[in-house]
Amino acid sequence: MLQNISAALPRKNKIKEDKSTTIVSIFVVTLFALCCVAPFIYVFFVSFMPYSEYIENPMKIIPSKIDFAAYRQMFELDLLWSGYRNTIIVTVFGTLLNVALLVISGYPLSKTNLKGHKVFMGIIMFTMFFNGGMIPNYVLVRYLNIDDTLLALILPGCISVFNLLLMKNFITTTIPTTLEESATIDGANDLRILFSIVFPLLKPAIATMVVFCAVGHWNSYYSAMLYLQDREKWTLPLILRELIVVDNANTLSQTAQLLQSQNMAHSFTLKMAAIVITVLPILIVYPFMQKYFVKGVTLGSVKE
Amino acid sequence: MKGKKKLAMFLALTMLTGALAGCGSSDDTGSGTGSTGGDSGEKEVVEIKMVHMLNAEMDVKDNPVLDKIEEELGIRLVIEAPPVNDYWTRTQVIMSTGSMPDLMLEGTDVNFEKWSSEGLLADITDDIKNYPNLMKNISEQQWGDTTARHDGKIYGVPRCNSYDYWGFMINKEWLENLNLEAPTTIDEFVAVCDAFTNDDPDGNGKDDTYGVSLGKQITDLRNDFISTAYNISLHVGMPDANGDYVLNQFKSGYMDYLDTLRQMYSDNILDREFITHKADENVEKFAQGRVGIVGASGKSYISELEKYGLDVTKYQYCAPLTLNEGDAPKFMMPPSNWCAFLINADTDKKDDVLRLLDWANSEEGFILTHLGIEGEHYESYDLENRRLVRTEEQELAAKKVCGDMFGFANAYDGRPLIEGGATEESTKIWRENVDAATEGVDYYYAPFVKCLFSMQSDFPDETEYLSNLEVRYVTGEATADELNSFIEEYKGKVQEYSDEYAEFMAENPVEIKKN
Amino acid sequence: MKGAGAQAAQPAVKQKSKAGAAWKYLKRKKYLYLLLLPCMLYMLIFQYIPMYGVVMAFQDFSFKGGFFGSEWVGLENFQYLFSLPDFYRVLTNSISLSLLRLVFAFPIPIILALMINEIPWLHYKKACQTVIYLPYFISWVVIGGILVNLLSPSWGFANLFLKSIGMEPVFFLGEEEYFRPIVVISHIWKQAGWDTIIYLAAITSINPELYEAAKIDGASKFKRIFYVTLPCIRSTIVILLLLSIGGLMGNGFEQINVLQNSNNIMISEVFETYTYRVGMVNGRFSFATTVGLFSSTVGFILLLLANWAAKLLGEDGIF
Repeated sequence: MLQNISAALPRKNKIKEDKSTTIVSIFVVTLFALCCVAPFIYVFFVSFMPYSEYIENPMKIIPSKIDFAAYRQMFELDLLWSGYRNTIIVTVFGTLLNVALLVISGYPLSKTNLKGHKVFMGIIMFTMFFNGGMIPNYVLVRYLNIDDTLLALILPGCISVFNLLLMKNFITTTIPTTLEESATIDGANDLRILFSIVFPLLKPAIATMVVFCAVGHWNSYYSAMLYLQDREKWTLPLILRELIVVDNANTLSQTAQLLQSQNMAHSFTLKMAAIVITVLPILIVYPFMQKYFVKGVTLGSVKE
Repeated sequence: MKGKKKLAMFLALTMLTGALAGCGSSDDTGSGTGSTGGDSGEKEVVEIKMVHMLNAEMDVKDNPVLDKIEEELGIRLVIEAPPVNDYWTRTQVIMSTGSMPDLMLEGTDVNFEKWSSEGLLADITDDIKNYPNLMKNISEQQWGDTTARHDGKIYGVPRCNSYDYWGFMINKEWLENLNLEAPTTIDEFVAVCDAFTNDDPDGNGKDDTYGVSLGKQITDLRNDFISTAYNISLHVGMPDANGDYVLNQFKSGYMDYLDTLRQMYSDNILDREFITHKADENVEKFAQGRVGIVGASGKSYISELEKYGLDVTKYQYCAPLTLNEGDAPKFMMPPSNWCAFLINADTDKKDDVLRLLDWANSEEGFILTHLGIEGEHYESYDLENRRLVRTEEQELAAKKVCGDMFGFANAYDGRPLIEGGATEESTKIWRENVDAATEGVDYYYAPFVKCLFSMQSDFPDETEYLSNLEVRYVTGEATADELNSFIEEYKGKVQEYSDEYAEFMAENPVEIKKN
Repeated sequence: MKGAGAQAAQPAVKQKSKAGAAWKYLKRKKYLYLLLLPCMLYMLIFQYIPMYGVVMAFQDFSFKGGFFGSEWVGLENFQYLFSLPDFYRVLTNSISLSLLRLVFAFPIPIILALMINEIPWLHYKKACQTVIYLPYFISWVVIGGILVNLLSPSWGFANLFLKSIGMEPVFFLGEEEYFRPIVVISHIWKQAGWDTIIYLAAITSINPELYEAAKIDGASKFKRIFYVTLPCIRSTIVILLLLSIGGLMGNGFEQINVLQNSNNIMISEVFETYTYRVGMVNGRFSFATTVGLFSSTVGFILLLLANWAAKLLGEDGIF
């Protein structure tokens, strides 16, 4: 009897504790989510608001009538379509290359006992801090004859050190060494181990990297700005920034005047519309990747 | 398995579209150069490579205006248009990698002196005399912009602009509601700002208005309407009360000017948020009915009002303020250019480039580059009265082929492309308002003063620090001691430049014209 | 016995066998080295070749001469940098701002990821995770615009609220003391949701058997987080922490530029905004490179130190 009670007590406490952990989690996450979604709802509604209404009261949320002026102004631009096309090409091929390189480079780097490991890591880490700067990179891209092509947006940044470190770490933590050892004993070489044993176990890591790389390419502005001359090759972020210009007017007074004179009207609603059309495609694709790293079943119960 | 197939299909499709897109664009360039070759059956067509800042809508390949230029001048413009946001980054990269095109639009403030002294830019001092339109449309003062300080030679063609005259806009309804008159002196201005802030001028029962919204810096175009009362202007060349030419910070009215603003700031009768403005939020707030006064140019205030869809009869444009009743208000009139066209020192097409720019400064070139082809991109244009008739479709079509950003001159005969507002009616209102406001005003016509540009680029940290210190003094963050001791230090550092400035102005004094 | 035999072998043979052993090792591990080859080639071509650009820091860069024809000035640019009164201000600003970020913003994604993981309803969990990453896509320029509207002393929601509870309105964006909190909070808001992705992925790859074992041992959820989840994602946390320490000199350009104004410039000027102004706006390439080189060097040293410290504490470190 006594034994039973003493066993039941902590159990009850445990359930209580479990419950409160869950409730606190739900509460905090929901609160944070609300903070995040509120401005986005604002952005969404303002993008459909007539500009005059925004001017009247910038904190107004629900527009009195739906106005597509900002979207019309954007879609009237022929460049927007070529911009979408270019961005999709860069995102798809860039991400494929990125992730492939991350997997094949991350695997040998995860082997800390590999001779020369420290040297390789040193070589890689050094580039995280030191680089030649804008002009030498520009010269290199021109020398390789890939300036003014979409390759210039894919090749120069095709390995991100940050992502590589994460990948290496994922491999170290997820792949039990025993698995590889037994495979080696079975006579499998490193290539086979990577592709038939390690690779399938890396799904969450790869999904994460796909999301990181793809979003990176999708938002990437800098190299497109630097390397693309032909406007038909411009990417979406570049084109959208052109539409909502004026912000960096603090650079040169002459430019500021020039731009202000161009009557870049409706800039605020345009900006909002620009966010919406950038994010929508990502919102559509994201859940397909998300299933790999947001676990379907509560931790603790049997996997999948 | 199914998912994988779908993915593969998708990839194949994107690859295909990618490949197609590649073909498409390369075809375009091919036919572009092809037609250039084909047309030049009898007349040799010169190809001029140019880097230009253009709006995103403009098509630089299939463009009837460019075709027309080729037809008229035998010049094919091959334009690279970097993104407007980072135009200056790109031109610096282009210059530092030695890949300057034949012709390039660039500011004259940051690198001009450096590039011209390093021999990267073509010296056109002697050439321009042969180009009548350039000589006619660009004034001697305006050429001062592209005259290098180190050797006095001309290294570029300014993109000439018409004069601005900076006064202020005021909300007439508010004045009427409170039974006030538009201010003419600083004291009246402070009183009106006080009333606009505290007496509920819009009658909504809420304490949600301010008198004035300033420009981001203390010496700012939008503050000239206040500062010229103290002989201080963003543009150099305004003499001090005693006629001396000194830097703004050393002028007799400098501390008075700052103290006026400081007092207004601490009384909370100006919009304190001016320091957080990034672009022209001050005008936006004026349009929103949150402030009653904002600095504005007599040339363009009406289009600013129209841009925000406001009733132009409810606002008034006024001349700058004066210190004492009866003083003449002052308009600072520096020669105005919007950047300049620089020519590569190594190009063998210098004459063709100048021929192009000369034509663009002629009546025909001015109209074509700004408006496009008559009948196609506009109905009619009256150069005498600067009135334009075009439909909305034509305006859209025009954006794709030409426009103000494309134009090589921003003024013809010293006047802008369009004067006044969007309609006949608003233009009439504008003219009456400006005529009334500018009565009895003194116009100060100044030259370009190159040595002060050099001073700013030789002492960038100090200049920047000083301009921030001024703001911090006005907001009460910095003390008068801090400001004064820094100015003392600054004075010593820039002595050489301020002497040169005084000397230069002695030779090229400001011309004062009374209206 | 065998070992003793090998030791007794002649020196010449020993050397030969050493080379032979290396060759043998290389042959055995050839695939690993081959896999690493593309990465090393990339580093060489796209990272190390352009590094000649740093010579600019030791030159008076001229557009005509370029990298190989500009005048050499030795350490003059560095001397100038250290002599600037602005320099120490920028240094303190940069480091204190990023330290604040490290202390307050760094743990948030970890906590969020752990909490998201505790939500029992799958769809709600996914929806929350999607929603909190949304701000990542709003550019700083736009966030700046929204903040100006939100925090305006006369019209903003925040101050209307303050007024309604009888407090004086505050000019949040204009007063110096609010600059740092605003930077940290807006950074958390924009970035934390996005950063949870890394931790969620790390949590996903934890072996479920560990939880089962903990459950059998009678550990509560809270205890399981502490004794299973956290230790399992520890190496991820350590790596990100080390990188953050290496990045202490950096604050990112866009956010600071958007929130900077003349009034808070004394505490808001950081290396990025400073380099931007001297490099791009004022056209002093050489000096901008000097500033950049200085902050990279410090960052790199910080990383090495942090890495060393991590190893002392028994962590894996980065290398």
